[in-house]
Amino acid sequence: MIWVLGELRGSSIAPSTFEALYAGRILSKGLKTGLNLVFVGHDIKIQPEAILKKADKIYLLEHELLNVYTSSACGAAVERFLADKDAAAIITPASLFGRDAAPALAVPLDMACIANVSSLDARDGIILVKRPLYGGKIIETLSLKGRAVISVMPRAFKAAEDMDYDGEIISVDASLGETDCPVSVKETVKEGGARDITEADILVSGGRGMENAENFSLLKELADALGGQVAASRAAVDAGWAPPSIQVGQTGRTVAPKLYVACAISGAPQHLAGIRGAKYVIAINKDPDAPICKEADLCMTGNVFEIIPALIKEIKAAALR
Amino acid sequence: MADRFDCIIVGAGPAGCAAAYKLASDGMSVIVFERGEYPGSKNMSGGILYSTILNKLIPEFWKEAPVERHVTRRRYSMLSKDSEAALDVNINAFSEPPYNNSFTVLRAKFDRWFAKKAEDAGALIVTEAVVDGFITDNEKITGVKVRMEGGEVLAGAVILADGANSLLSEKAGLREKPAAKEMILGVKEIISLPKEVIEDRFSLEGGQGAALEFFGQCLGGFAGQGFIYTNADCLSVGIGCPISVLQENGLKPAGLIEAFKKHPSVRNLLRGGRIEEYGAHMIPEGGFSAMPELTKDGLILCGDAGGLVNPSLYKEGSNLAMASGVFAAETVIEAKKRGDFSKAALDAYVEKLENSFVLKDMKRFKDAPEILRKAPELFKEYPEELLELLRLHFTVSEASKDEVHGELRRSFKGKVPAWRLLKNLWKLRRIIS
Amino acid sequence: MDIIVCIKRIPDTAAKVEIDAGGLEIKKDVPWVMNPYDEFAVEEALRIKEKFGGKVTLLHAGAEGGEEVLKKGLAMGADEAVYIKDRSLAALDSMAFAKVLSAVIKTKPFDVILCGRMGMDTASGLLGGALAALLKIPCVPAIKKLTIFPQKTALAAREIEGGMETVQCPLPALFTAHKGLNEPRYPSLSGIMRSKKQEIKYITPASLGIMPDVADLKRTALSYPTSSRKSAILKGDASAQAKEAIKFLRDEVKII
Ligand SMILES: Cc1cc2nc3c(=O)[nH]c(=O)nc-3n(C[C@H](O)[C@H](O)[C@H](O)COP(=O)(O)OP(=O)(O)OC[C@H]3O[C@@H](n4cnc5c(N)ncnc54)[C@H](O)[C@@H]3O)c2cc1C
Ligand SMILES: Cc1cc2nc3c(=O)[nH]c(=O)nc-3n(C[C@H](O)[C@H](O)[C@H](O)COP(=O)(O)OP(=O)(O)OC[C@H]3O[C@@H](n4cnc5c(N)ncnc54)[C@H](O)[C@@H]3O)c2cc1C
Ligand SMILES: Nc1ncnc2c1ncn2[C@@H]1O[C@H](COP(=O)(O)O)[C@@H](O)[C@H]1O
Repeated sequence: MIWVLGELRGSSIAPSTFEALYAGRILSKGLKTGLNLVFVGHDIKIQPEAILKKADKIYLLEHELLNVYTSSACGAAVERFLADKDAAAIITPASLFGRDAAPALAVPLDMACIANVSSLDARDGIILVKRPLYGGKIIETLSLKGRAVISVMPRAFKAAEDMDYDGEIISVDASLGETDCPVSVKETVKEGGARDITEADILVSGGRGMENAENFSLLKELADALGGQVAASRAAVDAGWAPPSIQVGQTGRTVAPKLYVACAISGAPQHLAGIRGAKYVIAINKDPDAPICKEADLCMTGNVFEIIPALIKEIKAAALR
Repeated sequence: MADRFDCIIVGAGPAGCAAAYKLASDGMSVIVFERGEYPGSKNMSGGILYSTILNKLIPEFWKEAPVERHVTRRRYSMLSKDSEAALDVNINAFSEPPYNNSFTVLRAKFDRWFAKKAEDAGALIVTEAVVDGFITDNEKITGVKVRMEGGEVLAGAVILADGANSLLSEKAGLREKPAAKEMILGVKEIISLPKEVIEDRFSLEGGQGAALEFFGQCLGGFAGQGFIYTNADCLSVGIGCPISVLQENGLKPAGLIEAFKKHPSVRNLLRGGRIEEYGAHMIPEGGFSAMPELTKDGLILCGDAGGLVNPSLYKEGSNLAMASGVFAAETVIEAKKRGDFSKAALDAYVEKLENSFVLKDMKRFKDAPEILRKAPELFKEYPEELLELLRLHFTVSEASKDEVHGELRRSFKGKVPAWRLLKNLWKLRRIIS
Repeated sequence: MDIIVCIKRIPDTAAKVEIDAGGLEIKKDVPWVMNPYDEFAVEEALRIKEKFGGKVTLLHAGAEGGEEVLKKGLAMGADEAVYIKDRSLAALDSMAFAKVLSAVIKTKPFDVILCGRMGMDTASGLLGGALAALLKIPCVPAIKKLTIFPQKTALAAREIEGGMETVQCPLPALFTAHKGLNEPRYPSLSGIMRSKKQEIKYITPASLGIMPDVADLKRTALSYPTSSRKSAILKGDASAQAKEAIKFLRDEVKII
């Protein structure tokens, strides 16, 4: 059996779950076994129609102590749940949640664990995975004999669409005690509004050349015109013009939008590491020799403060036509 | 209390590493400060390492050092605007150890290796450490100040091996800011190509390497030269141009190397390659007459910091740097024995340089920079004429050979004043050999 | 407080990494550095020690060359460095490393274990969680702030999806350091000189009675990513460029 550990965002299912399901399906086909999905939480309310045709069984593993996620409680709950079940592999999204949960499952279940996988295959009982190494400069292929917990890179897999599964939702009480959650959450602060940039289709990202925080509103304007979100380079985040949660790159998020517009970003290797998965890249830079231009499909050269307004104007004009 | 060493070395380039290796091997306590993240991280050179000195210091070093190729092929070519005439020398005997003591290297790797050797020999190498100034006692240099917490260190002697742009030798009062005409700006790119392509394109086999030097119209008519050296699976491609020429003509370094790479003869050698790195660095090419005073109480200047670059066609800097490093180390060892680090004692260093190829060669080629400066024709008119003559000579037509030669003579006389050509050629021999 | 810091050695993130002739390894002659997140971990450990007294022990497991990163940690001010060195520790499997490290840690007293949030080589971020699970102690990943209380509890602020959360846990516990936790110090000159004299303690996995088994997980290939970017460069007037870009957005990206 292949198990997918789903991620919840409040009462809805996080998009990363569907990508993990897609990856899970590859394995379930390759290993000729079933596909189950499990969510962990308390009082879980999900829309069944979103999921019923995507897996054989959907378990809701519930307990008061799972109201707020902690790796120890989640790990203990899932491990006990799966201990007497057959599990050839467990797939999780490589989000903060999934990366954290994966080793907490792998250790007690005595499975191998591979993080941040960008492609998967399975044949003859062997799982083949690819993952980027060294900020995406090298791709590694691993062959895996035996059971493993695998977290899959955001947007490396398509979102699973409905198939001919005849799913069933089963609610289970998790067996947990106070000792299973030594870590207690005291306070949670949400950062205003912004959606997770790893889930965006279009990103307009700004770097040091944006000069100050106010100029980021220009990026917002462009992002709005394109129907996307704003992101930033580390230089811009370090300068305090943008929150760390929207930093793209090796120490920030790995993004794979359909379109990435890099505005006044030079394209340092650590930044490029975060955008290798983008389908299209447009760079706007005054320096045509900036490394980003070689990593872009289209490089617009000149001052961002002239090019972006011109671009916004043309996009609006095109939208009217 | 500041720590105390027998010797402090500033800079972990070839000069500093050679000095450190020698001193540490002789049991001296020595500390090296290098401002780069690691030795070599800030160093770029065209990449031919002449290694007679290194081979004495670490016999058969090529067996362990990260050398790229040994140079068996040298090619000197004269470029006109769109044509080329070349002398190509291929000596297979250079494929035998010691490989004619000329290897292509990538300095980022080589310097790191050399510094590690010095470290293994007992030298203390501190990276990410910028030396800002000196500690003095009555004009005598007794230590250095390093830009880090607790960064004051004392020593019997300080060896300055901080390279061409040695701010410290200016601080020590040994030289002024070098004149623009005495400095060449080297601009270099690393261009990657598969190993097989390099070996095919440059007719090499095994670990053989080629060094191609370009003269004449390399930089669109401005004074300067170009080079291509083959590494294992990339090329070092670069140019050198006097800073004064850049300033007077408002030229940009990046534009110059582009001009060189666009020449048809060059372009074809680089085809399909990908630029991996780009960098620019100063080369002191003032020659013998621009050299600063090399010693002071408690202080010795080595390598590029001392202006020790042979300004001839050989463009030899690394070997002189290492030789001077070894001589400086020997001098400090002797000074320590006598307990005398005064200028008079350290002048033994200058004597060693005088008695070796270092200053002999520096003197032999002392006029080279001036000759090149005074003959701008070398970079434009002469190459154009030479190739025009060759073109006429090789053009296939129905004119009789007599007619062609007559035409050649006339065209030659008309354009190049013969006496000046002869004078220049006579002078040029002082650059070449 | 007894504080243990696990440090990883990675190729400098700015370096060019190349596959060697055999095709299964990278060329080793790149500059290697301490994993940047681990610098935050070392710094935090030193701060805890400065506040409460105690000892900072560095652990590194690997096949070769780990001395340099351990020396850097010592130069920053750590008290002891342990190097679990063995040829078998060459693969990049965080789980295998976690097993080896946990075996060593079990032989030592500890109140706090610090790791980096993830290694910049594999971007796994597995080891901390696995180590905590093996030692059966709490794990708080990706922390940006840590306060230790003398009665052996800790309060940590960590990044979560879309915000921050503050959690409490008893010690001993494991934390993985995120950027922002602190500003790692540069080693002082006296620190560097002291570190050159400090001995590194070597341990082999065999002496711990473990045989790291990586047979289940095997690298079968390394390759370079293929980029199909066209790198078309537009020049000149902003509005003319914008018109070209619109064509691109319409005809290729197909979002207009
Ligand atoms: C261990 C490590 C991890 C790192 N992780 C990350 C990471 O996750 N993400 C990240 O982004 N960086 C990361 N970095 C930093 C990275 O190396 C670069 O320093 C950073 O990406 C540079 O940001 P930038 O491109 O915005 O700024 P710069 O490199 O300064 O580039 C600014 C660019 O803007 C252009 N420009 C300036 N003004 C204008 C104008 N008016 N109009 C048009 N163009 C203009 C310039 O030509 C230049 O190309 C990391 C570094 C290290 C060492
Ligand atoms: C483009 C180019 C091509 C060349 N081609 C050749 C060639 O083919 N063959 C050849 O033999 N020579 C060549 N040279 C010359 C050769 O590179 C130099 O002569 C040689 O590197 C000199 O060695 P060095 O040790 O004196 O100085 P460098 O190699 O310059 O080393 C100086 C070191 O000191 C460090 N440093 C500087 N200031 C400080 C400070 N304040 N504190 C701490 N550290 C400091 C620097 O980071 C550097 O590592 C070339 C040079 C260039 C630029
Ligand atoms: N070989 C190792 N030796 C010691 N610590 C390690 C090793 N590998 C990883 N770590 C630690 O675990 C963290 C996460 O690494 P990783 O799981 O490889 O992403 C690193 O930041 C280090 O703190």
